[in-house]
Amino acid sequence: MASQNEVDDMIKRIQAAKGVQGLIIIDSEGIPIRTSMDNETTLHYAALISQLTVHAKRVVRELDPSQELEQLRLRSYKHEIIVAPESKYIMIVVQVPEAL
Amino acid sequence: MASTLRSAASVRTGVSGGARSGGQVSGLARKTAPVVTRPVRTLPKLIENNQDVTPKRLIDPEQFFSKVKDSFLTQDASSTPSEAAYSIAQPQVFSATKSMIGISHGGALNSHGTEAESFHSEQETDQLAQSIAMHSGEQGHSLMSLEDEISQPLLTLSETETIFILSLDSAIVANDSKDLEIIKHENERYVELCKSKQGSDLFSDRGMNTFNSSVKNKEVQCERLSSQSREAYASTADMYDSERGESKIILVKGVHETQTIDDGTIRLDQTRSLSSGVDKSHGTRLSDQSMDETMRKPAVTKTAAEEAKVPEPFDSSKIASCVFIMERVLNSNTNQTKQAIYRGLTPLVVKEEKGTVYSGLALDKLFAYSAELTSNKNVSALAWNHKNSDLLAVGYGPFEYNDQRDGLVCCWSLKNQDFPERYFHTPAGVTTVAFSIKFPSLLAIGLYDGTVNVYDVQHNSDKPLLDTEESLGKHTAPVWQLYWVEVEKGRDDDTGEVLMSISTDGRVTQWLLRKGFESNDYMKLKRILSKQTVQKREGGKDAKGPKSENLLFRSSGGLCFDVCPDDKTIYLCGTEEGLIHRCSVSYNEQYLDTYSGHTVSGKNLNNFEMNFLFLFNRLEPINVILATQQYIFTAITYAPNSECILAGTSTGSVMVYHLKNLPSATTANDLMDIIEQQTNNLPPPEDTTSSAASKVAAKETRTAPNGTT
Repeated sequence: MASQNEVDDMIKRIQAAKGVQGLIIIDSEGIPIRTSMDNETTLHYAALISQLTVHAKRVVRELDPSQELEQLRLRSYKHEIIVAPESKYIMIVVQVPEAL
Repeated sequence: MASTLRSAASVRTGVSGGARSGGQVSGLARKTAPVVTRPVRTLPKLIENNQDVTPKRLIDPEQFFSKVKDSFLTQDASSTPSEAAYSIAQPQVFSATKSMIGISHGGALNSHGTEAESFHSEQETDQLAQSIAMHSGEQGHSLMSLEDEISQPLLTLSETETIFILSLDSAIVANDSKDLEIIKHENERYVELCKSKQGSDLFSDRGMNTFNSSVKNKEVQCERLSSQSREAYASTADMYDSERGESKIILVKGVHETQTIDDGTIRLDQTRSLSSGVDKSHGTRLSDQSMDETMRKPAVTKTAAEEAKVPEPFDSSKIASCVFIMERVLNSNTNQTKQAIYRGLTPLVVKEEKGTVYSGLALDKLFAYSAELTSNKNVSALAWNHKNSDLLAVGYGPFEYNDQRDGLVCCWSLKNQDFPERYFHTPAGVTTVAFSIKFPSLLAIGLYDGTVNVYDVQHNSDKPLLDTEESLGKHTAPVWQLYWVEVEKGRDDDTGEVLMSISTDGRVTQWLLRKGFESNDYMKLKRILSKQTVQKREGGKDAKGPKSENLLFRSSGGLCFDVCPDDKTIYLCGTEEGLIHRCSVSYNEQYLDTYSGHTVSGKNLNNFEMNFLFLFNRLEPINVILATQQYIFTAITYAPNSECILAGTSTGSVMVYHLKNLPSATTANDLMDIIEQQTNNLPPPEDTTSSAASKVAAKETRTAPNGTT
């Protein structure tokens, strides 16, 4: 697929996109690999979101085993957390949507 | 041997006789009589018929016990050793008989046999022999010698077969048997008999007792069997996985070891650590110990090795797909409103309109496709994809000759407005782009240096699929227009579609996508003079007109063309000189028709226009727009179904012209009259360079430069 450079570019573009407050990439154990937020918040998000992702994955697979979780969105009053899991990593982006 | 057995058997059944016989034998064999005789306690004698019929004791208890004492305490060398030895020699048989004799219960044979032989055997044999010897004289039989039995016989204890003394089996008879009545009668009779028996003396119930053997406990020891319990919870997802051989069920064995069940083969993996609660696999957890999520099949072999070394550096390409999705998601979050409006849907959030509301028609800018990649680049061509109507191909390249830079082709999608989906760099500026109809992923671009490239949009590589760099028929001048035309298949391996191009080197060529690019010239555009110019010259001068104009054919640069939608073999092309030629695919020497007008740089045909044009052999430009200011129309297109023409100018504005009163079917003559009136009214233009300052036929309303009608 895309090479590492292109993906890095994409990540930079995401960070610079409108309304994005922060971006975290965590691995399967919940350890943040890349982050644009401060340490404490990062760890907080990493721990909570990784657990939630496990449950969400299980829900999707239980309902139909041929499906996999692709995206998970948590929208609150102030911002929206978007989680995109991969086989070994999880990408978390916090954004303030324009509409709000 | 047989006599021994007989004696043994007879001991069981008739004890006294056997003992007598045994005793006689031993009495014969004995050489020395016992030294000490003890007083025998005798029972009261029974005498009948002058015979002593006192029941004889088999064993004399006093003698027995005193003998025991003697053998232990006194050391009579002469008698006791030999007796002792003698008695030792025959332990087995006597112990068996003794046990029978000594104990009233016969069933205690087994257990007491073992006890008896241990202690009493040596002494008892002699005692028995003694007591038996006392009676031996009376009998006078000579029986076999028990001492023959030196060897110990093998004693086998077994259960006898069940002896049925009375067996009355019940029979089941069907209801319709012949002797049913008799059987019933018999049954009743029997019941009455049983009843009558109850009180009678002849028949009374008695209880029977069986021998109750005493129980001996025996302890057995074996190796301890250790057991471990394993369990796993399999969800529907796990069952689905294991069917496909990708089982992810993990059994936690210990703190540092886990096992994965996979098609019956079990592999041992090492967990890294007991991290708390981070479990990415779905639901198959045994105990409270967490499992390492990387115990999946592909990563299994790696984890063991990874324990020692540092975790490998983060490779972004692994998360390419989720980054991709994320970007789209973020984009849609910010642009959802605009995109919904674009589609004609109701947006989720409607912003309040600020300011005055225009009463007339207005154009709202929705969004712009722009990225750093395309900054400072001039858009030169646009094309929509035929299959995916959200995909827009944009060619970037300069128009003027002296401003040559590298070109760029970008494919933009509605989902991402900040970055193109595909981008291809080209060596020269891009002048035109066109998507294929039959193969929607093929994109043909024409460059300023005359090459035509074909890209496949499914891949994002800079290298084109096909290009005309090396082909013989390539253009030597900028390619201004490309068109994919559907044709009938000439050969079997034809794709049914050809690419037509026109360029300033004066050729209209057809490119076939066979193994490479094959070209076929449709037409060489020849420079001919327009009829007006001919008229003028003829009118003005005589005999001095250049006679050679019919002999010399110079090629004129073609700038644009369009194919008639109804008949794919007819196409119109426009040239630098301002002439529009109607040509056909079949003729490549002659034009079918020529229409004069202004320098045509871009045009677009539509159904309606074609019909209209066919009415005339000679066409004057019907709608010519006179610009009030000095700007040049650079692009024009007809909006279908709405009778509007959009024109772009060099100053960067878009004009929308509405064709009013355009008749659909009028007679040719009427229209000709109108045209002639108009053309006669206005003065002819001085030159034909500027496209705006040409003949005017005022049939439409003039519009303001703002573009509102």
